[in-house]
Amino acid sequence: MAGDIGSFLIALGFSAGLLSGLFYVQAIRSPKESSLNIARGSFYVMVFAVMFASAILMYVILNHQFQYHYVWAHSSTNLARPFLVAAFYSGQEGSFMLWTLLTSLIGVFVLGYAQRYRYEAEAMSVYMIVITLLLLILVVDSPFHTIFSAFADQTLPADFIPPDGRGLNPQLENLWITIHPPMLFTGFAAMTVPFVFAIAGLIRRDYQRWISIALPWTLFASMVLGFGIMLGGWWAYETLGWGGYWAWDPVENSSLIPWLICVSLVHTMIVQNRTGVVERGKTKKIGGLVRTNFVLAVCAFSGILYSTFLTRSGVLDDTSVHSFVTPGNFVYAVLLVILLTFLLTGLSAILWRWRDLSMKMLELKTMSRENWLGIGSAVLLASAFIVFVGTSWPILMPLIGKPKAKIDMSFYNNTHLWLGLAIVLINALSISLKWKNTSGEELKKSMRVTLPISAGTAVLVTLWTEVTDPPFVLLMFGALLALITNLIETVRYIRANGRMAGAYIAHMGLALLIIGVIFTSRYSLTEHVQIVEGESTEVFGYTASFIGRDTIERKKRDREKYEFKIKLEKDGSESIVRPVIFWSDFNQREQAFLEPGILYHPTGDLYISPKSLEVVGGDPTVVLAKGEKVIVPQDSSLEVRFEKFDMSRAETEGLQGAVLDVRLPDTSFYFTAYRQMDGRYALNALPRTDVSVGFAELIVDQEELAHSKARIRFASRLRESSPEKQAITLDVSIKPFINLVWGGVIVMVIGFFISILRRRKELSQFEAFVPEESGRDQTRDIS
Amino acid sequence: MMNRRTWYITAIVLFLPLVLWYASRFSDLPEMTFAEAALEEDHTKRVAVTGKLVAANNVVSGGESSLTFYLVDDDGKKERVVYEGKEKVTTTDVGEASEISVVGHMCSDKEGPRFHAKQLYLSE
Repeated sequence: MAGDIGSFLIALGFSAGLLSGLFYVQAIRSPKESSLNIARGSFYVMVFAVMFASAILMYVILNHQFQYHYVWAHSSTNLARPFLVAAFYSGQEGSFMLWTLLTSLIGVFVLGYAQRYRYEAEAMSVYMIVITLLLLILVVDSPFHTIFSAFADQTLPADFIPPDGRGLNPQLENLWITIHPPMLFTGFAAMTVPFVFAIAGLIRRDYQRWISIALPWTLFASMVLGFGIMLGGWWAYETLGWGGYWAWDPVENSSLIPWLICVSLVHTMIVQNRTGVVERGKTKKIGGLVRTNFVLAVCAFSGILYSTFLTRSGVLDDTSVHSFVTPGNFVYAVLLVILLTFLLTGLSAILWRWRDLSMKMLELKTMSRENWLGIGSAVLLASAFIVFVGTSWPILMPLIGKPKAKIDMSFYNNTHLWLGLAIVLINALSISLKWKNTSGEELKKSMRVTLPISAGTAVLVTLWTEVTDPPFVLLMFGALLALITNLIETVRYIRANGRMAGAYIAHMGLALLIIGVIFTSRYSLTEHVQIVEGESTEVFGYTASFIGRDTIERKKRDREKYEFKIKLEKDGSESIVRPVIFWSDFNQREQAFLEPGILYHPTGDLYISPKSLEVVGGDPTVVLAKGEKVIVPQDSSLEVRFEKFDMSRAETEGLQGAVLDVRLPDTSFYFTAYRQMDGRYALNALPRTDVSVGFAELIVDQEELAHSKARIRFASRLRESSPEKQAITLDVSIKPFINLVWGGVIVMVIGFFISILRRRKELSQFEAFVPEESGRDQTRDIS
Repeated sequence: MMNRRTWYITAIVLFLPLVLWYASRFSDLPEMTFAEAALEEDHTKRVAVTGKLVAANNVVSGGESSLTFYLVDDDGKKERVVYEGKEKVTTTDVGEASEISVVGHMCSDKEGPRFHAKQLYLSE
């Protein structure tokens, strides 16, 4: 019942959105209040329909209504409330629902905003097309499909309700999931706004005003999307256990590309804003980089759609850890159509107004701030293009008849070392320059303090931290130069007008982020250690002892989860970190999930990532691949061949089996040795022999599961063997100054926020006394 | 003196192919011959070998996504290829291909040397 209402509301939202869009288009052609009223009314119907459909989805998830396929596939009765809320968007259909919901809610603000600046019909018509197409995906790929309809080819009774759901991916059961995806989708939704104002500007032939109107939203989109991306990094660092926060994974990259374009757009918009003149809502002079701004606004939004296409279409299968399951041909086609529609429509709209836009190129002085802002934007775009090429490589290769391949991380690292250097140097230079023009003397004067301080600090940091690679020393110098230059400006502006300091604060955040990246990427140290229970080892000056383990989350029967207590002692102080290893029904317990333990420290974390758990001591073991055989060490007349794995008791009893073909001189038989998921196993007597056998370890071949091996332990029942102990293998890393990465992002977000306040204030000044027909006329350069 | 627009266009024209060329150096899928693939010590590493089918009527199906056939590479070396991948490929698809790229690695055990392919790329 609830699902039927939800499906109806999605269909209603789609119809209302379509109607609203059509009446807004009508209002552009003939601006009648009646058309606008219908468009607004339909818009609000759409918003309420989406809100109620979302509420119903949340209701069916919270009430465990597993008759709905989405609820069954992404939640279970043992999930805590925050993770049930996260189940809303942990799957494909739900994430589209969240994106649509956020776009609709932001739309309410955009409507009021567009009305205030007399952009309603043009902006909202484009906005409605975006929301309607998102709703079209939900109509096709609804989160309210029932189990019965999802498994129509299987003979399920129509009223079948599974007793429990499949649950959430256990790696997602982390508080970050309640923040990271909503933040990212808010960024996705906000990125629609600069696009719609750009297209609206083209429709109205308003090539200047739209910049100041869209700029606060562009800053907002950059702020939220950037923060969302970095939250993903935090999540990876604290949960996934591979030791980093950024892996240039295609899905990480596909969010980074639109962010880079958006940040580039912010800077080119500032150039146009600065070089153009709007007074009382009328354009007096069009600034520079007019076409660039339109193209970037289209590309930034298309980048979001491309990101969605990469993530949801299944085209990155085998090349990304993030890709959602293959969504089916129709959704794939809809995503491709939406991407091409907006990219081609946006570019066509620019070509449509090309003659208007072919004004004389504004000549910027070489030593002007606006010129270097433009160059900085070009470097950001170069970065976006490089990431685009690397990310799209698995798609590009098959297009030219080559096998699907992905690009190694070093491609991004090598290129971005130099791009990063260019960005910080250009930033420091542009901040040191004046608007319009700067003489050599003025530049010398403005860098008289910053240059020697930065060079001196870079030398000190180099000596202190042993950062010695020349490219990294250069990058460190550039980042320090940017940091100090922006710090001086921040202090100056905070005294005069705090709102003006936003950009400088954001740049300080970027500089801090880059310094953090230098340390963590190039100067992280890792040691691979194995610690036997009750013993200790020396690592990075710490005495690390494996003092035991606790079983955690005992009530959850779908997993076996262990927290390993590692005591760290140094200079008389001691701490305990708790890396986690667990097995879950989610992946049929085939592979362990690993979570790191972190000892946080202001100058660098000690990051302990578990790798494996095994039993040491006791009798000797042999490793066998399928089909391999061995003469038993304790009895040369006995031959054992490893036949296959037996996982039939894995889900129900948590046991993995190794089937052995045992051959005696006069007979042969099959014998299955079992082990538990946590590594414990028993030695069982082989019938008619004096030998016991145990399945000590399953050595998984990640590339090809069929090539996985078994470690088999043989013991003589006539001789006593040495005691067995657990041993945990760990990667222990020092992450120097990683807090600069997190702190840099937070400072950058604060800077963006202050800039939004500033641009909103400026906008209200430019737009004071907006005349009724402002922006309707062609606003060519009339200065 | 070039104006700013010409500078931009020149930079873009030079930049795009440069990035593509540089990226191609970091592809995780090296293209090899069968002889080179056999020398690859890391058997978890995927390589690509391109060649021509030896006999269209000698393609044997071993199930829904399993095929065995012989391929001759650019050096003229003939090798048995066993395909076991996700994509369903028919004997007809392989038989009609003018050129085939196989992605996987060389194996040599009691079943004899063969190229174990997880992906196939067929040219019309």
